[in-house]
Amino acid sequence: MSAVKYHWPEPRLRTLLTEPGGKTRSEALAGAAEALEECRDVAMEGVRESLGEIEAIVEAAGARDLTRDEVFCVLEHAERLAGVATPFQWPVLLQVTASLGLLGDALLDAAHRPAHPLAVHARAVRWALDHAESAEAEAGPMLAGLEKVAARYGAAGAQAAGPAA
Amino acid sequence: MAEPRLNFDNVSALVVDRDQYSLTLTRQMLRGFGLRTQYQARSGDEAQKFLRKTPVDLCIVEARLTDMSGYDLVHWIRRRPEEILRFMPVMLLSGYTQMRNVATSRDCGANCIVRKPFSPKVLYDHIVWSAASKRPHLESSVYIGPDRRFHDLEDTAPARRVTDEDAPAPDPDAAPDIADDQLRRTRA
Repeated sequence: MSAVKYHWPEPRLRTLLTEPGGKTRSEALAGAAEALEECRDVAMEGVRESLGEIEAIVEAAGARDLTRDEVFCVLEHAERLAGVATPFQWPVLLQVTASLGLLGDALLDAAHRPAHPLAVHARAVRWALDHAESAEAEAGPMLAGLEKVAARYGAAGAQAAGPAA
Repeated sequence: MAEPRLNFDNVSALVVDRDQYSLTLTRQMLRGFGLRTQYQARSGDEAQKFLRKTPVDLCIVEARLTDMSGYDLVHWIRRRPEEILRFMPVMLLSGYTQMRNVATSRDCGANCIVRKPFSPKVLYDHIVWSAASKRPHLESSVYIGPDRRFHDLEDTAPARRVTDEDAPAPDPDAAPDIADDQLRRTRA
């Protein structure tokens, strides 16, 4: 049986946070939204770059199945898309990338990894980018279509799988 | 009751992420919270070199780095001789490509795991939770890091191990911890 040592550290972080002054939670979150706004262009650049990568992967695959590594790469780019859509609160892009993520995850372990369902999602991402702040109602039919596509490949529940809000 | 104020002015943080865009967004969020001293590293090696010279109050590490995994970096931090590093709050960022490695995340010694993508609210709450949590820090031959047994949740959680069926509803005022919740489910 191995010995276990217990420590009760007082992290400096705790001490510093409780120093006088500072911001309330609402003020801090408003500050973060404001700071994020300053880097909107940079974020968009990242999104476009990732979308370009996804499109290149599915286009290069054509009619053949994707490799596991290619799907993994798509997933990583989907992650970046979602990483931007979440703090900027772009609801449609969020749902599309959530569906793309679930689809990619399902394809990773699938016997066949066709490129076309990912290509459909890439087109949806492009649409969502052009309508970044659209209401979900406007994108409803497209999102429903994506859910069907994703479900066909074992990624059901795409619409329910949002990120941590 | 007035909303409490937290002062991030003098907090220093290191954000380790291989993706420049993700790094920028995380740092902007921190800046918005009021954190003025921030550093960044794009690789585990860069982070290690930096931390040897400059201890910080908070470290935010992406699970997937170029030269090593974020888990390895946290593992390294927890085994440093300097107490300021060993006990430093460390948050692990994990995307869905890494969520399959829940057990690894749990065992590397991070204070909490934040599932990507995350909003400023989630980041803020996890930082506050990491700072406020009074879990003891354990050192054994197999694990070094914050106690994973949640003694400090006695007020909100049943004394016995919880399952999905009898888990209490999360308290919206308590900082949520998505990964910890997952870890509890994994153990149940």
